[in-house]
This record gives sequence, structure tokens and C-alpha cells, in this order.
Amino acid sequence: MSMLLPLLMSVAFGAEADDRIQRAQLERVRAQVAGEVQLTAYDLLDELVLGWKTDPVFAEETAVVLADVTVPVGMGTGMQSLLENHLSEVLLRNPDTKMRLVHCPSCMATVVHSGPEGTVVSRGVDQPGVLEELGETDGKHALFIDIEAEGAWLVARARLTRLTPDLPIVWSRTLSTATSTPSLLRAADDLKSAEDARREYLQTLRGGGIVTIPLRFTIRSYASGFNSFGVGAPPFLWLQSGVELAPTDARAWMSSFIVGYAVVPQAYQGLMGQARFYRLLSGRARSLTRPDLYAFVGGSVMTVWGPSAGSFRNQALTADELLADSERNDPRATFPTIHFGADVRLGNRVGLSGFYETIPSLTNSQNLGEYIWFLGLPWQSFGVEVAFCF
Amino acid sequence: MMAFPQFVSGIFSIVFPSFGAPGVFRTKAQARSVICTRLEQRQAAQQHPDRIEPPPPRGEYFTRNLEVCTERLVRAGLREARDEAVLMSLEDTARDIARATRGVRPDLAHRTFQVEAHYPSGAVAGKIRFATQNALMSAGASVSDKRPLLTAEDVVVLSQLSPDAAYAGACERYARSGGMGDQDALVAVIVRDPRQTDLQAGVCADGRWMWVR
Repeated sequence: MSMLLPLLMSVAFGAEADDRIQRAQLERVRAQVAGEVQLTAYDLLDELVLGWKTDPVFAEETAVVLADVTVPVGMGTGMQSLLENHLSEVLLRNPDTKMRLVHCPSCMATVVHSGPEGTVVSRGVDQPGVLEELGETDGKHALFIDIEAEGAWLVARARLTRLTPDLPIVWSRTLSTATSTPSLLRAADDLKSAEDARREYLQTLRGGGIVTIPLRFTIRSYASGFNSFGVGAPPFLWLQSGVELAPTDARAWMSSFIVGYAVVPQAYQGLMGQARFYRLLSGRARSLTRPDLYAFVGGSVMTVWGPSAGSFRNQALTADELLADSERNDPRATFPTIHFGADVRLGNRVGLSGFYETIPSLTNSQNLGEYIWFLGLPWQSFGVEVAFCF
Repeated sequence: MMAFPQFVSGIFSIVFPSFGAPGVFRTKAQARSVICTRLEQRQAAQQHPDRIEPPPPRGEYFTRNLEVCTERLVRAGLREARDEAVLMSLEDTARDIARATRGVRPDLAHRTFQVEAHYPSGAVAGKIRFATQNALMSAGASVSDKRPLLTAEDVVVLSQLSPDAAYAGACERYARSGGMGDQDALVAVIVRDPRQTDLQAGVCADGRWMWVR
């Protein structure tokens, strides 16, 4: 018996801990869902207010009590407050809706009314006695909003009730939107219809040409040759800039024309010109929210000089050549290159890319090896770039 | 006898079913977590221009159908199963009730409707009432936010009757106690059985109760 008691207690405590964990997990899921739903709910409220702007319910400015905002069953009061605040903000910024938000403590307070038919405990808006005092004198109306998740659809219902004892509903509307639809994120003081917002979105996707100015920092490393007598080239640091052109705002295709300069004192200097063509791989149009992946291919012409430029020759460097280079003028090499690679762009502002490059005139060089063998060519150089676009 | 290509196609569709259906590599829970709609390519391209290309102007050699699947907004298990079932089709149900009310009692067209919802959860009852009010307004009816009241004694008596007798009795009491006037009508949306997920509705006018759904 003495052994059984601790065992039962531990089982009981274990079950309690499981409950706590499950409750915590449920709350986390609720918060996540509410976060996803919130922007879509904002969209529906914006659409409601836009409707009141374009087709006002009232001819003159009218006092409206925001009587009740209910959120999808299972989501908390935090979301309710967010929606109330958003609706209030949008209404305040759009006075042409002819609705003036007013506070009505007696409408929202819990009122106890006792009469011959019984005792009723309810909110003020549900009490005819309270409404008689309000509606007839002030002409107030109550606005009720309900947001509910129905399958994959978020549905907003709204109604306006005149606060008189008969409580007639003077206006109602039901709107819905699929949750897969991206939120329009309309500005509160510049509401647009869904059609206009869609037109702008498509214009952004397919609109006119775009020019950006990239600034790239590049490191090219060169593979060492197999010949033990060969002297490999050191990594080359390049600073590049030029123009990047896209035929449309979708930026599915792009091209860039760049010039670059490299310098490491006592080692090398260099100049280059480069052309590159990009193709978007991660969709049909650049994403406004996610990183974009591009593949690119291009060519360049480089000229490099300085003690380290001696490696860009087909023959292995000898000790005599090294001595001769140091006594006479620094060696200079000019050569074309072809490269291909991939580029990840973040918001079309920051890019990170990697590429392989081959120097066709130095495919038999004993000073340079290759990282990969592809399309019958040795790709002797591997480079990484960080780009900032302006 | 099943032709070989049909047989292969059948096997293939079982092993690799379309996105909304469970299969060898997709559990029932995963399939139930999405709602899928079959769309033509042109329609899908209009709805998702950034993801789906429109069909070429000269057509293609095959017809391409697309299934657009959307994750359910509220995941399974987050709400009571019955609440989820009722809320899933609330808009359709509300429209159906409004249509049935107008169809079964066309003589009430000029009355002002009040709406009540009887459902175990107060939050869901409020949503059912809201949806029904809006559906009646959309159908062209005049609707009031008022609710008829019963006295405490009436509630005690009515709660001891069977549902059919209770609603008819309540309707009679509304008329006699003056809770509803000559120009009023009441639409009550009800769940009669705890296991029921479809909503029933009745109309009360002039002390007479009638089921409409």
C-alpha cells in the first residue's frame, strides 16, 4: 500500500502536467491562427468602410456606437481588441463615411431591469428602457461586427441597428474572403477597392522596365594546377558596379552590365567588363515577401597586372620567369571568361551569389587547375558575391 | 473486363490521389486539413496570377484541370467538433433558413422579423442569430434586433415540455403576453438534439408555430 500511493500520486501529477502541456500547446496554436487571420480580417473591415465611403448609409453625420465585435470562436479577446482598434482607426481617418464613433457607457454596461414580467439582466443595448432614453434624443445607431472562420473562408457580418425601442436593423452586409488570398494591406487613409488593389498589384508584377544600380563585392578563388611546378593565382577581390536591367517589374528575366576594379597593393590590380543574363527560378514574378532565386550565365573580359598576375599563363612559371618579372615590368594578362551560377535576392535589395568561371584561353594552363569539369570545359575559378542594389 | 490502361490509371489514382484525397503517402488527417476546389486553368490564372500561367491562346494538346487547395482556417481539434460542423456551413444554412421562411410563409412578407437562436454555446448562438438576421435582410425582409421575452414562470413550464410542444407553447405565450405584436414574426433557429449538426428553424406569428426547416 505504501508503494502504491506514491505511484498513484505520480500518475496523477503526470496527468496534470500533460494537461498543462496540452493547454499551452493549444494556446500557442490559437495565437498562431489568430495571427494569420488578423490581416485577412483587417481586409474585410477595410472593405466594409470602403463600402460606407462610396455608398454612405447615412445622409448626414450620424453617431454610431461600436456595440460589439466578435471574433472566430476559439480565438481570444486579444484579437477582438485589435479588430476594434483597427475599425476605429479606419473610421476616424475616413470621415466621409458619415459615421461618428461615440462612446456609450449605458449601452455596453450590464443593466438589471425588474418589471412585472420578470427580471432581466443584459447589456444596455438589449434593454428597451435604456434605448428609449438614447435613441429618440440622440438618433444613435449601434454597429455590430462578427468575424467567423467558415472552412477556408473568413466571413465578416455587419449590421447597423437604430437604438430605438423597436431596434430596427437599418443596414446589413456579409463579406467573405478566402484565407489563401493575400491580404491587400490597404493604408487606412487611402482605401482602395479590391479591384483597384488587384490592378496595382498586377501593374507591379507586369509593369514597365526597371533599372537598378548594383554594387558588388566579389571574391574569385582559382584552383591550383596539378603540376607541382605551377604557381597558382591568389584570390582576387573585385569591386563591381554598373546597371541591371529588367524588361518588366516581374523581373523574371534580367541582365546586368558591370565594370569592376581589383586591387591588392604589391600583389595585383585589375579591370574588368562583364555582361550577365538572369532567369528567375522561384516563380513567374519576383516575390514581394520571400527571397528570389535566379540562375545566371555571363561573360567578362579581364585585364590584370602585378606580381600575382603571372599565373595567368599556359606554361608553368619557372624561377627565371619569376626573377625576370620582378626585375622588369610586372606581368599583365588579358583574357575572356565565361561563368554561370545562382543568385539569391532578398527583396531585390541584397543579393548573395556563387558562380563557377572558366578562362577558355587558359584551359591548358599548368598554373591553374579546375574545380569542376562541365560541358567539356575546366571551370578553374569559383567566386562568391554580395550585392547591394540601389 | 477492365482495360489495362484504366486498371493502371485506377491503381495510380489510389497510390497517388489528387491533393484533397488520402492515399498511401497522405493520411486522412492531412487530407481533411485542406479544402480543395477544382478550377479551370484560365480561372485559376485569374485568381492566382503570380503562380499559375494562363493557357496559351491557341490551346494545348491536353486539358489541364487544377485543384486549388486551401488550408482550413481553424485546424481540427481547436474547436468543439459540433461547433466546427455548424460554423463550416453557417452562411449556406442561414441563407437556406431565410429562403425557407420566405417560401413557407409568404404572408409574413410585410412583418418585422425577430430572430432567436437556441444552441448550447452562447458564442455560436450569437453567430447563428447574426447570420440569420443578415440573410433575412438580404432576402428583402424587415428585421429587428429585438428579442421576445418570456416570464420566469413561463420558462419553468415550457422547459418541462417536449421540444415540439415547448416551441408551440412559447409562441403562444409570446402572442398572449404582448412580447410580439401583430406586425412581428419570430424566426427561431434550433438544435434539438445534442448530436445534431444541422440547424432547424421555425416561424412564430400570431401565436402559431410552424417548422420551416
